[in-house]
Amino acid sequence: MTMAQIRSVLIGAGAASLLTFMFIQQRSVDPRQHNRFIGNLLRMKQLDAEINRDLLSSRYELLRSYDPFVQKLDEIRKAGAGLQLIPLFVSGSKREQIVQLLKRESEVLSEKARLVETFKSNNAVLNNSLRYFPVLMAEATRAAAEAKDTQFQVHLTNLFRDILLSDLTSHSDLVGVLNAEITLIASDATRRPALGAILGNVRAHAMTITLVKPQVEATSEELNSFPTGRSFDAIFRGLFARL
Amino acid sequence: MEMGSSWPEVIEKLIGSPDYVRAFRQVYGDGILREHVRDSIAEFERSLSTPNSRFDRYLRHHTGAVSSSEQQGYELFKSFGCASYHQGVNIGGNMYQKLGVMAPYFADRGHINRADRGRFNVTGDSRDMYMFKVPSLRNVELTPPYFHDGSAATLQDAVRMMAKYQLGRHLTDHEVELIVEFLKTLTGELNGHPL
Repeated sequence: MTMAQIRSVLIGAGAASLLTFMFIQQRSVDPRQHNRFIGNLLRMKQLDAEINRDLLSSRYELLRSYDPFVQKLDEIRKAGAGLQLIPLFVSGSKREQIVQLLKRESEVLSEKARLVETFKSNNAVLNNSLRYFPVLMAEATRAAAEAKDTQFQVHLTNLFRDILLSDLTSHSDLVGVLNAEITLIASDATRRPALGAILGNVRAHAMTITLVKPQVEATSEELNSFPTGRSFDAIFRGLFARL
Repeated sequence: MEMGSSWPEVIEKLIGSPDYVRAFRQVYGDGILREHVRDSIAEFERSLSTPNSRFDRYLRHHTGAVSSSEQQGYELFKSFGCASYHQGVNIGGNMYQKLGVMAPYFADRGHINRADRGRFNVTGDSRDMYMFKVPSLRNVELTPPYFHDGSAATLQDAVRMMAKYQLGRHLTDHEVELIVEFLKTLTGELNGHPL
């Protein structure tokens, strides 16, 4: 073997070793990549649980601002963007599987974010009417007293009582009763045109409460059972199967 | 890009305003370019941190920071349910709501245009028709005209219109003035100076 041939063989062997080393390095577990990825997964799972908790708190006015939803959805988006950097040691079909699981999780989270917006909008309408209703009822009751209309006063009292009762429960048993009482208020308004404006407003807000409350509750239930995070366990398995 | 607009559309609109053309030339030298618009918006947003309004001080138990009539305005603001929409650290700005919950705003105003469709222009979802971001009320006295269409020239008009279309109530002049007085307590400071 000539010197030139020996040099070629050595260069070839060196290149092969280098490539093998790089290949092994690429597929070996990088603790930083691994920790960053797992950290983002866990963070998303935690934020998702916190959003569910905030929904319940918000529904019962234990949380009086929607700022936490905005902040947590933003954090979830950031953690989701971080997850796009899948560790290099995950390759082949496992990597493809994780890509698909992440894509699905991102779609589910987008849908959840849309539902959270629906919840906030409807819950605000409901709370607005619930908050305003006592003011309205005080004015309507005063007008009924001035008109010396006891039948009208009884209708108002019954409606007010049942609106308050319905707000205490999470089911819709009182919807039929409330609708009947709202109809009575409408007939009172026909009987007493001078009170038409205030009675119209009482009726409008009572109807809003009756209609929107079940919508808010349905959205809350849907959000709490939303299939977010279901991909996470599969992603964990995909990662640890390689380790 | 908000409200379904595009960069060419935004730049064309800005070039159509002599004031903006002059201001951009003064600050950036080479006129209205996309990167300058981005930079100016970022600068504007940095200026939006305006803490220490009288109402902030009131919430920190400086009871004298807000007068008795301003407190009455705050009580009305809460009892009329406005705080259901305008809440959080910015007193709004964290949710979307339909304009015209209790009365048909657009039918009353007429001449419905593309901008009136609100969030629908961004999402294409019919449920977002006429939905708009509920604005922050910080510094609201300094930012007329009001609403997406600038239809309320004064704060008094804006309060009256909100009561009519979001609450179904015709406020008395006294109620309007009390609420406006409260809203003026939301004006903050920029770099330690009152706005």
